[in-house]
Amino acid sequence: MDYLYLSLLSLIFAMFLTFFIKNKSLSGFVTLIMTSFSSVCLFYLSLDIIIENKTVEKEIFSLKPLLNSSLIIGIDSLSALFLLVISLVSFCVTLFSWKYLEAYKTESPQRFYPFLVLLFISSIGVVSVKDLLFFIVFWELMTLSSWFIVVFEREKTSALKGGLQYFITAHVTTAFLILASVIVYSYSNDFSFKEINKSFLLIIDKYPYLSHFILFCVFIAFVTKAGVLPFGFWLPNAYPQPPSSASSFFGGVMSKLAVYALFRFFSSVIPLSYHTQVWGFIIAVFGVFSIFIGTIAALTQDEAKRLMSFHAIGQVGYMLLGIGVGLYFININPFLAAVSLVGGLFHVFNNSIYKSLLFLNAGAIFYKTGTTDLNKVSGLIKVMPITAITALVGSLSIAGVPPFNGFISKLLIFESSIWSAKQSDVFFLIRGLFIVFGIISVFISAVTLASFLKFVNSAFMGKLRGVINEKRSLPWSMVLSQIILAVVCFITGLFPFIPLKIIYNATVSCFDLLPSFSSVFIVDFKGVGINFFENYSQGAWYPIFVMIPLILLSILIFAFEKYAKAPKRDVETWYGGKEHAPEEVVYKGHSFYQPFKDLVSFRIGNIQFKGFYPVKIPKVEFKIPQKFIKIFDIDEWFYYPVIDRIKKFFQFFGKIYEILTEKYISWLVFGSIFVFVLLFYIFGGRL
Amino acid sequence: MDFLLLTLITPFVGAFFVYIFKNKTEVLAFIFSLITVLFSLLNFFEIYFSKIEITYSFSLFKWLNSGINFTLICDPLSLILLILIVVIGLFVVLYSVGYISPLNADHPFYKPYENYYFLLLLFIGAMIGVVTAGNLLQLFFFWEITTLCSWALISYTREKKALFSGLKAFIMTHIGAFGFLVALALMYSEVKTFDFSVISSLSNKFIIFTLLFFAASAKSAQIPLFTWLPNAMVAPTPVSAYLHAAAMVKAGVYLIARIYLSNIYLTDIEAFVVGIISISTMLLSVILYYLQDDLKKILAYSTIGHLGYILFGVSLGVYGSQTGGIGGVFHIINHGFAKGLLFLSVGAIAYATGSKSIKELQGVSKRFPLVTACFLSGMFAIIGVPPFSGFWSKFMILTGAFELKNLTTNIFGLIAIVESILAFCWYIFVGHKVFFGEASEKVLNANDKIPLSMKISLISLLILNILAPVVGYPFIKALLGGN
Repeated sequence: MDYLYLSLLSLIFAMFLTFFIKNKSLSGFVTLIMTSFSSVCLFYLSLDIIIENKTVEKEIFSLKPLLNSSLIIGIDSLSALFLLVISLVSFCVTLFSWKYLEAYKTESPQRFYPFLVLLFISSIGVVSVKDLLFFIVFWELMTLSSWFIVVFEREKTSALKGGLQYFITAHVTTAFLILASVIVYSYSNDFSFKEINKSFLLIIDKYPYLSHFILFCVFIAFVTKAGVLPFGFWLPNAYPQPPSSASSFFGGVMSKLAVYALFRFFSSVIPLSYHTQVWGFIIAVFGVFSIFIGTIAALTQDEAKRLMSFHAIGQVGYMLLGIGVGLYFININPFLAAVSLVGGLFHVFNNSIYKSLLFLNAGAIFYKTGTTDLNKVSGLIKVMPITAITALVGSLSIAGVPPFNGFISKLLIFESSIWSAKQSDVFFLIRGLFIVFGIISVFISAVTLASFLKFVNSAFMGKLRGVINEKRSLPWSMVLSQIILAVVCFITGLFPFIPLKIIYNATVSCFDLLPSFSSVFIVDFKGVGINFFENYSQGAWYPIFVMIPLILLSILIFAFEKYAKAPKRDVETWYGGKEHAPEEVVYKGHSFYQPFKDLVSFRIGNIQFKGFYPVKIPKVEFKIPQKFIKIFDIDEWFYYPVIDRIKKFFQFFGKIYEILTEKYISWLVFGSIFVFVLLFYIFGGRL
Repeated sequence: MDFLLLTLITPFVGAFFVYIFKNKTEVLAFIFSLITVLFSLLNFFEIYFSKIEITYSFSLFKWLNSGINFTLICDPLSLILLILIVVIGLFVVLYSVGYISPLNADHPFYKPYENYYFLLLLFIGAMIGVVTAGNLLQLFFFWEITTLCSWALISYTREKKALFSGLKAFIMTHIGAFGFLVALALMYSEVKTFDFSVISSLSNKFIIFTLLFFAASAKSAQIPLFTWLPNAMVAPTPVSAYLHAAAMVKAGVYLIARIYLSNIYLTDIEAFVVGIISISTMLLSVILYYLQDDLKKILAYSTIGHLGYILFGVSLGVYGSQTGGIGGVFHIINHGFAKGLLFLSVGAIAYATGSKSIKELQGVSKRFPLVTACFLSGMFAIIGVPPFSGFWSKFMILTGAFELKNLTTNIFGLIAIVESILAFCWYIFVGHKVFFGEASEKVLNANDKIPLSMKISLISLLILNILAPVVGYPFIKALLGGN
């Protein structure tokens, strides 16, 4: 626990310090030192918790008697897993930013580092608090700090637009979360997760519709932040805007924290019931929807970071599919649920790594060329070979190619959704749907591969184009951070049993009715198998066995080439005798998969769809009618006329006074008589 | 407890001196407001460290013939407002030193400044009088002094519009004060006393409460008498800041909060009256946000809405939810610092660029980073983005609204959330439009030199705005009976 304080302390210190440093390099260095210290602390802490499989919980302070809420820091295996990811990614991100920020000449680092560090702090807070009120506080703090980073370039229109969209959407959906929390509080009278868990059963029992509404609010808040379509429409506009190192943290950690939150709420905040099953199904449906639309839309993108943002949407869909299927089957078949939940969570872990890596690759391209538009750059392998290789590793991982890490988690998700067909006690239509979900996600996996081949091909292969300054080599810090993430991708892919065990423990720490690890997975050092039938190697994978032939083949091909001494010569491309300028015939990023793109682009009414994703939405214009506005101008229709009337009334009497002296005297006489009579009447004639 | 008396007297003495010595008024005013702050701090420390109960009162002399004393009280509620009044008063005076000058691009002010500082000090004194008054009659006395001060300050520039707005503010708040007077008369005729706590035991308590609420709603710019506040924006910006953040409009909510805290036996009908008026005011103000172009006017409508928030919280308290009621009181201090900061930063923008129009301003952040930081942090506090101050009090009010399991308050709570979201959208849009993007012509031609005195008050209020929940927390806790 002390390590958590230490890491937070160093981050807070870094935040205050970088607020006052104007020098980019120095500011980056300070952040790097502080963040690496905090990363080491977090790493140690989370490893300690994961290995001993324990839960640490401590109350820092309490808001009683104002509200029954207290800042409870509680770290179990699930939180520790995410802390591990945060520590790794935050270190790589700051290492990358250090030199990278120099690509932004006019912007001050004072507007970047403090908020980046604040983002780290708030994400640590989100995963480690066990109290709903403080969870919301950290959640919004995360939105706030990331908004500052999105609008880092304050004169770029697209950044401002993306930032506005992002902040408004995130805040509005957090309002749903706040609504849910205050409704829950009115029953539980305490904001801590434990108490809510206890009293939620009562709400489910007594007011089933209200509890569905609460779950809806929670669902919409998290799903929007995760970027699940159709709520994640803001994501492709916001994520590409900040400097790539920050985008990398957004894509790698921030959107995954939404998945964490969803998992946390449906596992330990809300008790298991029939509701869990219903919402598991809904989560799976939305997951598949965004897998499909998000990834196909990504195929049509030509801008590297926007392409990756769409993939962030698609990949979140996989996680939700895994978690959704798991939640659906948790009461029916814990075995299947275990495979599915572990698959979803494993995918979160993998995705954090390779998504951060890919955004960093895009950042390296930006550093070198000043753009991330795939139509404007190519052949970069010649100037930055390591980036090209790491980008290839990241692309293969995200596409789920064995033996890289994405494959394993995707396999678990596919298997569980397809194996759900065997559950005879589930309504057959739902079983069929789950199978369809599985098939869609397998198909989309291929689309992912295609779109990342496009990225790697058009950015790194071909003729060298678009480099600003060929002499300026990529700084070692930027290369190193990419290498670290690529190595992690590779190792988790090659030896999946270590992360699998960790993630299984994390899952079990939330759902205690899951079967034990050994009854689900068979582990040996060759690889891992799912224990569907005892002693059958069904649904098993052995990455090393895949790796060995691959390596042998590569050596063989390399040896052939060397042995044959095939001559290499550089020639101009032959265009069949026709003369073309190189610009006319170059195969740009836009040219990839043209027929497929045409197939999925269409038009409905005024809205143009590209890859099933609306690109140009006509502006909805409405004018508030003037009459409506006038209603609110009480001055005009009420106060001023009334005052006018009163004025006129008095003026009228004034006239009498001015013009007719006799009448005035008679008024006096009559008036005094009236007063006299009145007095006489009141005192009953006894004057 | 002598310090409380000194706190009350000092601004009046200061006003007197400022009136006599016509030159160097700003220095005198600053010194006296600083002394006031010191005395109120001493007052606070005295009761805090000597472990006397945080609530105390004492009588000075008898006035009027029957047993009504001139009494000063000091409890957590008074202290919250006292801090707000003296601290923001100090910074407003300090800010005015820079702002009221011939260099002001928005509206140059030339010497002699006549009775500007005299009125400001009088305003501070009158507000201290309102929040430390021991009974309703005494409160009414100081209440009318604030009306007078605001009238004079709003029409300070002597332009036609300013004169009209000042008169409008005076008449409208005076109509409210008429309700106050009638309520006092009715009260006196029944129980021969003006104590706060007798209202719930009166036979016609609903009428008296409604009359008092009418007075408070006129003062706090609620439906129906709210139109004076947007017009009052013609006042010099520091005055508007003070008017909105600490003085004048806060007197109304203070009165209702005071009545709520000293009367346990108010019924749901009274709560409903306050609730429905405050909620409809909130909705009205949020609709009117979207129609404004002047930055100050947006802030004015936002003040109206937030006073509605406070009154809504208090009405929840009357309904029976302590969390909501105390949340409303908490919102007073949070809103006060944030709104003061917002006004002062808009004033700084106007000082430099000569414009307050959203259309004309763009890209302010590049040339005025300090002002941008101030405005943004004030904005986040107002719209309730955690961890800024507004979130905590708004959250408490919402919790109160849903805690009650009463359909009316639940609906009110939902409306409050909707209002909050709508206000957020417009504020964030305005923030984007004014501060980001490429600099517009007005900003490019702006005068870069913001006086030091304005900068100091901006920075201090920025810090106070961030610390507002921490400052308010002990008092709120004391109100709930903790220590």
